Amino acid sequence: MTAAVPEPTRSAAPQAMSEQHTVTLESIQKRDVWRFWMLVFGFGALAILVVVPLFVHQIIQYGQARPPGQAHQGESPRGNIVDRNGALLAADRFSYEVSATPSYFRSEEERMEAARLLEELAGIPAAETFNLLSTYADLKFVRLAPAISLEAGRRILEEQAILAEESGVHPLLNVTLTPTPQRYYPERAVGAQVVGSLAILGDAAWTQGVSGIEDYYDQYLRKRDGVGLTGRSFSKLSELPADVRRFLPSVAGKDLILTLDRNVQWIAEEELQWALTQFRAQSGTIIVMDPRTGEILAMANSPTFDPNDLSKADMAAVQNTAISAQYEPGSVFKMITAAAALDSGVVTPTQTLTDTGSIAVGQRVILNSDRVAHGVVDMTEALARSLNVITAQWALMLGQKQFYQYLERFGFGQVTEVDLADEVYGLIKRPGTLDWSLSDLGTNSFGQGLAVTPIQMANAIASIANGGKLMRPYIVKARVLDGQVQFTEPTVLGTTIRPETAKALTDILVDIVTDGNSAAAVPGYRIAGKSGTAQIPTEEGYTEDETIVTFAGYAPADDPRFVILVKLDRPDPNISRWASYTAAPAFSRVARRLFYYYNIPPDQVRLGQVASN
Amino acid sequence: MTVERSKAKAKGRYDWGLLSVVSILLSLGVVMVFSASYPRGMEGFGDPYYFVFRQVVWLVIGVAALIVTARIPYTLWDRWSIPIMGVALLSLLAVIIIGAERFGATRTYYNGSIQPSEPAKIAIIVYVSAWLTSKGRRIRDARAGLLPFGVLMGIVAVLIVLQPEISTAVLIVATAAIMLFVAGADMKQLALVGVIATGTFLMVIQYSSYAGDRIQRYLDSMGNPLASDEWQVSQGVQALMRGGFFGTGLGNGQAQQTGYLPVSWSDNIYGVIGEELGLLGALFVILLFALLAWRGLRIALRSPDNFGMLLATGITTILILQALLNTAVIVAAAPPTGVTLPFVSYGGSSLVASLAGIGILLSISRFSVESTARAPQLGRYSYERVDLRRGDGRSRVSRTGRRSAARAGSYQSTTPRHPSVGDGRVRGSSNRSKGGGSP
Repeated sequence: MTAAVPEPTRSAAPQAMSEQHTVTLESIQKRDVWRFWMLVFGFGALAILVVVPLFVHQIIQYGQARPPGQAHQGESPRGNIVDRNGALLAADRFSYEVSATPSYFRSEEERMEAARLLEELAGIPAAETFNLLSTYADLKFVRLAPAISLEAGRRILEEQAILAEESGVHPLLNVTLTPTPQRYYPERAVGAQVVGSLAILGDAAWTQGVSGIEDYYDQYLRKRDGVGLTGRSFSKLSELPADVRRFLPSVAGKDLILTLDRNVQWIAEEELQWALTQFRAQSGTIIVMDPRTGEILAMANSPTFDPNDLSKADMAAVQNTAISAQYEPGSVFKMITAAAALDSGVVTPTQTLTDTGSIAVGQRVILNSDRVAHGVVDMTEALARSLNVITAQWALMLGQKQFYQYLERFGFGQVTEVDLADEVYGLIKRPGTLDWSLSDLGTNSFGQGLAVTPIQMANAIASIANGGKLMRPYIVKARVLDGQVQFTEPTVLGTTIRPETAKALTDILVDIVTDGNSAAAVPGYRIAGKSGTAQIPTEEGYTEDETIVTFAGYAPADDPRFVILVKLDRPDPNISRWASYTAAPAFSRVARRLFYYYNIPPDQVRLGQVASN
Repeated sequence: MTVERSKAKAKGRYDWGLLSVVSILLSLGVVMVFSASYPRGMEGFGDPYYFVFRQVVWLVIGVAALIVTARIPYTLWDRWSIPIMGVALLSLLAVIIIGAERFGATRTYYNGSIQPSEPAKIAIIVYVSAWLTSKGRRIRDARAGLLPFGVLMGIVAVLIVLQPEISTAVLIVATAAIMLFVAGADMKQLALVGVIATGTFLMVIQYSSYAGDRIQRYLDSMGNPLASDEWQVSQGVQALMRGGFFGTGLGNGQAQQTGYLPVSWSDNIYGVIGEELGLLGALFVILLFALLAWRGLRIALRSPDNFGMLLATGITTILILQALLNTAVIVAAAPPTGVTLPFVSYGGSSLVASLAGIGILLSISRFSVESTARAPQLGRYSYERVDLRRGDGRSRVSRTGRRSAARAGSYQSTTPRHPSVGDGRVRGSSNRSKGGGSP
């Protein structure tokens, strides 16, 4: 181009014009387009500097961006968890995590300024911020405050937006706010193992449920994960009672309504605590279920923890022992053997058997717990006195095939499929396997040599209360999503015994509790149930003094409203190591309060009303 | 004919091509600002329309400014260039002295909504155009041209660097240098200017904590932008990587979500375009700016006088440079700056100033030689000569005052118009260049 503009041409003679308006070749030169061409060339060269990397990033490196998890992404909001009456058990409270990139601060003044603004806007102590920024000056990340309020965070963000628009450069812009939903459990330790808790596992970028419902329904509750409702039968959230809707829907819009009743849970926990203190037991569990549906009304474990601060919790306390700890149930299991014996017809309620004080089953001689022979007894007396010898006789009469069939029907050795995380199977040795021997048939009949979970035991008893129908126990009454509610349908898992058997057995069990002057009785109410004291198996055999005591029962006997299972571990033998003196009174206290809570009048009044109707 | 034209100059045609290009950019801008800002609007202000609403308000103000400047004969700016420059310098100074004592950024006053450096860009271009025009050929004389020019640009640059807006200062100095070049500066002198300016620039960033740090961090990450220390760089590049050829679709981008690309609706909107509209969208934006450059430089070439030519060149250049710098930042070809993508990025002052600049370009186009009726047979020769005469710097220099185009237009009638003027070869080559050449 330049070559096209030779110097001689430029200095050519001026045109013949008036002096003022002379057009010279120099002036031609001035408007000559080669300079524009140079400009265009320059723009084009710069554009190539943009277009080439554009191609590289968008075509060659397509899809090489780091996956979302690796970007700094905040927690996903989670849905609320409420009890059956709408009491809030778990909810998100939003806050902002404040962090900064200390290496981006270049001077004392910049650190000071950021610290000053953070104190002014959010009340984060300036001296501390300044210290952190100075101390970690070479790092890329430092957390200045784990959680500041939503309002304080907004103030900082707004200031940042202004600053970014103004200048794009300001020490405060090196501060990052990450909105963090923080899980909040307003009831604290109440129902802690059921509701569960959250934690960051491994090198995961965000928290996840690690126990209870938070774990079992982790993906459902987390807004980011697209797990929704399945099935068809929905109702509208607006049709629920206003009380239940108090905290629904949440920000996440994916909420759970539990079968749990906060008040029943409170009663169970309080009485459990009473029992633990009274009998100096190490730990314990109380389960309250509705036998008609399988709804879990309360599930109390002790020791317990505050899910709001999992870091301080004892890991053993986080475990929901009601479903994830198996134990030898002991005599409480005789109810199952009796039910099987009655149902199969090998014995009748009034049929008598002779207790000789011992019986040999397989390689093993079985004795009564009191080492005494009780002579001729009927079923009621056998159960009331909890005679191992008689129970073993029933099992032998049933035969191994039938006996284990019944155990299977009652759900032992299988998970109940309750919708809670970490349920265990229990342990039933089966005929035909190597570790089973005939002696097991005898010991199993009174709850030794097998392991069950409290929920299995409670559910099996519930099936007797429910006329032989075994329900699937469940804890989530309804799932709420986008204004729609899906109720959990009670599920019949199977039939354990015939209704007549259930009724006959109930009468026997009532006799034991109510007429047998048991500590489990509540005056005026017919209660069916039985206690069980189990020695704890160790490698050296069964312990003599340390026991696990259980009482399981239901009431009112003619129309059971609830099943209660009380289990206490290692009550102080100096006080009592027997269930009838420990678990039984605890059962009575819970039952008494439940009659009151559910407004169930004493049987005479209630049945009188029914009769007069 | 020429007399007619000089009388009817206000009835000339606007450059509809330029207007179309700018309209497309503006529409794209509003859509993308919404797409890029709704999560932040929701989060920060509880209103997804927070940013886009303000953008539309500024757009309306900008269009008003465009209409006003398009209707004002551009020669007015020539006459008022000194007061305009004075106001610009004073406002820059005012920001520094009394500007809101917001830490580290004295760039704005009046509640943070006005950046004086934005209108100052246009004011400085106006002044430089007028000054270069008045100097005419004497700009080749170092003492009359280069030295005062250098001093002037030095003052301006210092004021803007103190704002502190180093990237804007660089843009303005580069634009002024290009204008000097287009005005016919001596190449050797221009090279000297380049060396001195670069040296000064390096010194400034050396001593400027914020710019130096950014550039250092950028240089550290040149090899692998993905692993860049600079969050903005790695996030911008990753947004492009997610986009691919066709993009993720409007509103489906991740870049604007919290924790990804910072200020995605403003400085970094090109990253959102790259992600959501893909390479196609990103290239489309570059194509639009190429068209803008073509129309702008075409207006410059066809402007009836040197002032118009320089003014059009200056405005076009600063817009193009700004777009190039902004996009270069996103593709990690340049260190992060605070420069917006003209017409597309969120930001009131920038939008209004850019639109006012387009208005001035339209005003110049109205006076363009081609847009007025002219005898077809005169062809390019006529065009060229008219240009040349108007661009005669000497006649201006010889007079004391500045002179309107109307006055200049009157010379035309007295000018002989035949192909023998000048050297045919030169003109021929110019014509060829121009014929195919509008960028």
